[in-house]
Amino acid sequence: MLLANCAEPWNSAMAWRRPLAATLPLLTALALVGCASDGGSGIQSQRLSAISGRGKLICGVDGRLPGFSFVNPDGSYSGLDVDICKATAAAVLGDAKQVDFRDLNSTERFAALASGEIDLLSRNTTATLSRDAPGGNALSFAPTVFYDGQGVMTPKASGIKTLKDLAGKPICVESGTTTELNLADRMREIKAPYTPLRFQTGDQTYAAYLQGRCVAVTSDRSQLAGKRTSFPDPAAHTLLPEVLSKEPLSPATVNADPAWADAVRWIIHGLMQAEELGITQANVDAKVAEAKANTNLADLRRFLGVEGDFGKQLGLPANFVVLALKAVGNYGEIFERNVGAGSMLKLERGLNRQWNQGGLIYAPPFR
Amino acid sequence: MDRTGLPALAQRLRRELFASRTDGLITLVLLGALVALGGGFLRWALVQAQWAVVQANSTLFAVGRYPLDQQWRLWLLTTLLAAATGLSWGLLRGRSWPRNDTIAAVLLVALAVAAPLFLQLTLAIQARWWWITALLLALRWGAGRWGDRLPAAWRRLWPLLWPLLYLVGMVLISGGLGLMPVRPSDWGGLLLTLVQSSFAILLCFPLGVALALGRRSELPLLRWGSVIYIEFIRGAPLITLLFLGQNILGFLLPGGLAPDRVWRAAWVLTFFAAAYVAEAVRSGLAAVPRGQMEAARALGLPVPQALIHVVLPQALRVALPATVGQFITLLQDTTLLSLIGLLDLLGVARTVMANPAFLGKNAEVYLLLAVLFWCCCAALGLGSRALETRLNPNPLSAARA
Amino acid sequence: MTNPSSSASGAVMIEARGVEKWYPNGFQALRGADLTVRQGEVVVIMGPSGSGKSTFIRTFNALEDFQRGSIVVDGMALSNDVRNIDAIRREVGMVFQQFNLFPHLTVLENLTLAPVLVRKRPKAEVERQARQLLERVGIHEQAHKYPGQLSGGQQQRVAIARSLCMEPRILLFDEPTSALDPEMVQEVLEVMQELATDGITMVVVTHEVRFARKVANRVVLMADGQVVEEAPPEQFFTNPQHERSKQFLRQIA
Ligand SMILES: Nc1ncnc2c1ncn2[C@@H]1O[C@H](COP(=O)(O)OP(=O)(O)O)[C@@H](O)[C@H]1O
Ligand SMILES: [Mg+2]
Repeated sequence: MLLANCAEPWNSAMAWRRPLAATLPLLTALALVGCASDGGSGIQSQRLSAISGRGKLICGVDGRLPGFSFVNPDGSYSGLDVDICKATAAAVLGDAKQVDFRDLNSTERFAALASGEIDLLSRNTTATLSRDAPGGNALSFAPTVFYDGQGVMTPKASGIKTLKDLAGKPICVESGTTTELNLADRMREIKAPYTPLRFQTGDQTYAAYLQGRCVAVTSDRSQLAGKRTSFPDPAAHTLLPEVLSKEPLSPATVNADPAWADAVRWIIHGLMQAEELGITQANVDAKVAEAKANTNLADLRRFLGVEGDFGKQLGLPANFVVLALKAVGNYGEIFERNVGAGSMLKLERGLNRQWNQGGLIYAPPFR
Repeated sequence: MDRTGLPALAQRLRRELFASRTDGLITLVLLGALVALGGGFLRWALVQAQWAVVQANSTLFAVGRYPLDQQWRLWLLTTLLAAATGLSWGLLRGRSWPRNDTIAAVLLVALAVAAPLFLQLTLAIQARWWWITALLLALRWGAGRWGDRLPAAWRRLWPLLWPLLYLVGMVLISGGLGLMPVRPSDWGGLLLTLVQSSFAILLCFPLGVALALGRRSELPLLRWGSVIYIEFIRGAPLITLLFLGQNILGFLLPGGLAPDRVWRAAWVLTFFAAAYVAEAVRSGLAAVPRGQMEAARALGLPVPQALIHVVLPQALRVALPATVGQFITLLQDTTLLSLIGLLDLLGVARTVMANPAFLGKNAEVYLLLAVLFWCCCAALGLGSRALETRLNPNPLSAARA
Repeated sequence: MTNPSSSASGAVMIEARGVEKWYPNGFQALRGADLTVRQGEVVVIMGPSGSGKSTFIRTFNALEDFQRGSIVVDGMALSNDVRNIDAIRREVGMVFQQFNLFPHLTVLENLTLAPVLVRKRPKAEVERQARQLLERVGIHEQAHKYPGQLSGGQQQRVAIARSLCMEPRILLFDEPTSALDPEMVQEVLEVMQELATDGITMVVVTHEVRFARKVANRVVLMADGQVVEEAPPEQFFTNPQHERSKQFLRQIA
């Protein structure tokens, strides 16, 4: 009884998502009117000067998402989304600690951004057309920091290696979700008929999977990995290589301040480029020393802000990439620490490998 | 039980539980079910459950992200609260120690010893809890023994200690007056839940009374204003109002002008609860016969005084149980704050469960939450029952009118 | 016991002329009621149920408003001015059929509430007076009980004492004994009778013929929202003039 009581608000919230979502376009429209005068079309970003002025970056996160954002016992935040906030604060303000985190739920995240309550939304947000477009949510998406997508988990012992192996087998799905539809579509495509076992809630679905009533369970890959850590024997389960849907999770800012959006974009590109160049949290100082000593390394010198004015062009400190790297490390390090092999989630890099390793992480040239 | 000893007890058990064969059967079946359930639960709680999630995050559950170097203020506040509780308790009871008081004292001591031990707090912090509990009980004893030597004026005024303490508490929590400010967004856990609910409870009450009176007013504007407000609020689920509060205020008041998210939520809770309190008070007002107002008016009392001294005391007594029920609901409704991203108890619970180190420890965390909420609600319920009996020294009088 | 000759010539305390009242639902309860009450007089109002007796005396202390006619109480014309109303209510006490004691206050507190709040008199002094009044109505031992712990007759006597504590110049009684068990009627009537001898102006709606005969200076019969007959008690009860009076006396006989 008592337990059910505690879970209740959560359910009722789900029920009220929909009517609320209906009011959101209105709110966003309001915000557009309000922010139109904010300008930001000039070279100087209002948002950037506001952040410098208050000495804090206000970052909207989920706050309850394993591997992406959560609060540690000592009250500090951790996670992949959180590290993006910290990197940005370090690059802009020189101090990764100067972040105010705001936990936001999925319905209020855009309103918080549009109303100017937060500077940066780093909260597992899938980049889509309607969220990007000026006639939609009018967001400006930074580079994707995590290519998520629907995945399928199976027990290692089952010997299943690809989706095709699931033909004729029972699969546990949460009923009425897009994951159920995606699975059905894909299995029809590859002509692998299967038996769906439908459940009302995620918990029921995973419980059934653990009882062996089905040989596979499907959901977003990051979710599957999170759930796996709570299994009795996490190592006995594996994610199939196939990805059934595209969920590019990207930080976002408002359209109305393109200069600020550019700054965020290139801070994140910097983290990715650093991995490509092999610059890590540990060796960044050495690399800077090397760049300073050797005038021949022109690309590296510009990237690290030893020469050139990349930082100035963005309204950031010249060594903004160095500042970010010192705070949280390069993209690969962030990934491994929070969701990859170094974490409890143990997610494969998969699509999140660098472009030259078969992944999609690709920073444009720092030129 | 007066008959002393086990035989009497056995007799009573026999009479109450095994009076007939069916009674005995039912008793046995229920006992069996109870033992099975309780045993299963105990086995889980003692063997399977991994309480590290609670132990490691106890500070988070208690105060959220409240800065470590400022937490002494909360300790001070806890000490003050314990002292005030001990004092009030002692002054209320005087020299007598009813059995309930003894039970309460023993429970308190047990809690002070067991809870810190269970949470594996450091010895220094365990000792703080012992000392706070000792202070409470010592003051209970001292005030009971020597309270009657206080000047009469003091004894009449001691309830004022509580509002005063509330203000002091708010300053201690939020800072100001020379203390380093701690932003509301850093409050969390039980602290946030209690601040939110106490704020809302304190303010929604006068607001609710005003609305109830407004609804019965003869001024059409006031009456219709109250009716529309009450019906609007009662027609909307709290969660939508919370979302509205969070989203709309941000747009209406740009930048730093909008109150902090925490206060926005507190105000929404207040306005929400006020509508329900208003309905409870309205039913109380309806229970007061018209003749009461007429008699007061015939004695020359102006309407406000007639309301304050004659009608409202009677109406509020009738409305008290429903109102306290509303307060308890309000306390539980604070869990909705977690859905708007505040780190109240449930919010903390959910972020803790998202920590990869504690993934899957939902049962432990939710059980802790259930126990904490149960304690708070039980305290409210007990307090209201005590208040009811105090307000109603003569049960006969309510019946006659 | 009473002294009709002195009161008949006293100053006019209540002067009601052609009072007409419609209730909000459109029902006309008073259709031109007239009454003059002089200082020290005891006027008993009788009449069939629904004839407007309660409505009429409740207009005297502005518990009910009226639409036509005029009422002057102790020299103050009743109008809708609130301050005027509060002033009149301080001069006019009222005792109700249902007692209407405040159940959440002790007997003593019932008495002291209004004098302290309205007249702003010192509490100790009011309490002393209240105790005297309670003694006078014969319930001083019950000062710290709650109304619910008293019998109906005792409650009504407390209610009378409560009105007296405001030191009114006029007391209105609306069927003060109708809600009482028969054995308690007498104790209340005795208190009222004693008041009358003290010379306070009283308007009493009651069907107690013996009380009217003994105490009243005049008896007034109301019917259909009008005063149809007004006479000294002996004349009224032995030789009523109006047909409605005869009919009424036959009914209660
Ligand atoms: N509040 C009211 N609204 C409408 N009609 C009323 C109201 N109070 C009394 N009446 C009507 O007015 C008439 C006179 O009532 P009342 O003065 O109480 O009579 P009495 O006291 O002589 O029995 C009755 O017919 C009664 O039904
Ligand atoms: Mg009547």
